[in-house]
Amino acid sequence: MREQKYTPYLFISPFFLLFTLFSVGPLVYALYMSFNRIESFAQAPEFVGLRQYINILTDPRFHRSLLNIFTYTVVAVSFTLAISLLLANLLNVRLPGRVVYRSAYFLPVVTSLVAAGIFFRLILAERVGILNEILRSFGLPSYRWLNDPKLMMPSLIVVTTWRSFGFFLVIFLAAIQNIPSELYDASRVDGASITQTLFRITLPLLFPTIFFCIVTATIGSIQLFDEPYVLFTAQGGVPPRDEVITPAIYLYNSAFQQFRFGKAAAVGFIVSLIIFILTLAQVRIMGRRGGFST
Amino acid sequence: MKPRSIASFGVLYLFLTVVAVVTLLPFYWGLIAAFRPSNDIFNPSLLPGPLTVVNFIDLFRSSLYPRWFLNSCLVAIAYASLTLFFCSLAGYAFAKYEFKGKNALFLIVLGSMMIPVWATLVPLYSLYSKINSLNRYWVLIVPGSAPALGIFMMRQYIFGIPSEMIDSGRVDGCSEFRIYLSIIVPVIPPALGALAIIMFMFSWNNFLIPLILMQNQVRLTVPVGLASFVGLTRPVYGPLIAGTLISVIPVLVIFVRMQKELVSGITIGAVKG
Repeated sequence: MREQKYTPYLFISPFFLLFTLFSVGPLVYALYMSFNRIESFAQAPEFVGLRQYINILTDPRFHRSLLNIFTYTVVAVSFTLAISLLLANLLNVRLPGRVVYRSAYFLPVVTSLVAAGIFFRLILAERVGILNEILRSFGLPSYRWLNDPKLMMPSLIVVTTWRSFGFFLVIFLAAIQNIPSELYDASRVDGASITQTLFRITLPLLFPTIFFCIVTATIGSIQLFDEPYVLFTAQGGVPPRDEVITPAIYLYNSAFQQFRFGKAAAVGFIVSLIIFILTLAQVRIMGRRGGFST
Repeated sequence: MKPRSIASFGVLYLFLTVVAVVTLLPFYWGLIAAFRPSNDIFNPSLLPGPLTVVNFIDLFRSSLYPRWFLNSCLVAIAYASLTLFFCSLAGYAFAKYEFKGKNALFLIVLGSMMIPVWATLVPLYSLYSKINSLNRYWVLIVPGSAPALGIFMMRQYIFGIPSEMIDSGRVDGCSEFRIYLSIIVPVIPPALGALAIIMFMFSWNNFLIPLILMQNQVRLTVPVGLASFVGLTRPVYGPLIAGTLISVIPVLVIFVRMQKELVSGITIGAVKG
């Protein structure tokens, strides 16, 4: 039995080794980088204290990215979860062929964000895009879906919703099917309407799952990068405009286009802190009501 | 639940069908556009019209697409395999062993999910460039190969395996690793399958990390290669759409054949189990 004492530590060691080398270590190093001006790895870093944090926090472009991502998160998360919750409830009806529908809704989830972005460029492109061709053929005006400052954010939300509602749909569907059917039988005996059943049984029992999805979707949204990058990178590799800049794009620009690595590390810290605080806040506000336990 | 009348049945079907058509339309357009001659790609007609494979030929002639495809396959398969090994091993330890600090260590595993990729991106880039590892495949495979999500999934699944099976192995005098190999591994293929699909897809679709770490044209993965088309001064939509279509095929095949495992893998962590 002596061997047994060390075995579990040996079995979990790959995680802890990789976690230390590629997460904790870099995190500590990022903190160091964020206090130094580093514009090339060949030069010695120059200590600048909090200056980079101050520069970022007073940069209107960074403010814009925060404003964008909060608008985006609120709208996209509620939109996506509402659609998937609705469809999950509809698919819970014993319909012949409902598996086919579920598959159809789930298909975009397995598609890469890059592929989704490219398919939608085909549809939304300004002069030649399919959507505008269709509008024109009906005698309607065409729109600059990917260039008009007013339309860029709505276009982005439509694309990301298309890509992600199937994911939450599958989770909601599984949760609904976990609800004991006796509850529904009882409510039917009592003569409850479909709406009553939905609001009195399904939604309250789904609350922990809905909460889980809100947290997951929010964390994902705040880190949004791939979709705006692919949809709005202009010809010649010009980065996306301010209307759709996200903190992640801001970080990418700082590090890999302006080569201000110290500043980018500071942005990474600020973004992580925002995610951390938001998650804690959500857990505190909603966890109290929903009996969500961790 | 059962619908109450034929009419509500009809409305329900109509609604579900409209949503399904809208969801699938971008795929359909992508599919026919890939086979249309370049002057006809943006034709809004839903009918295919005259078709050609010229976009695919262009793609293979004008880019390193076959190489990118090979890179993506290699990286995704290596990543998924390594993940299966590390996660099942750690999941087994957390599910079936008692050891000092077990709960605290498991909390660290779960807590690691809170660190966003953005916090470590720049220091990792700097580290890799210092040890001369940019453009090396291992930087896409090894660092993330023991994900907390996978360890959690495996632990949940292995909990359900009767401990008597493991004890019988001990009585027979098997080594601890031998017990993992010949008692645990043979009974967890459903969980391994689910995890393998999720990890393969994650790696296959991953964009940010290879975008930053792979700069040599020969070493690109498919999504990064495709994105490099988008930024061209004159985007060439024909080959781009053709390449995008091919890139969707592997995940599509997995999706069609293993949808059940995929869905069970996604819901295992989300729905109380």
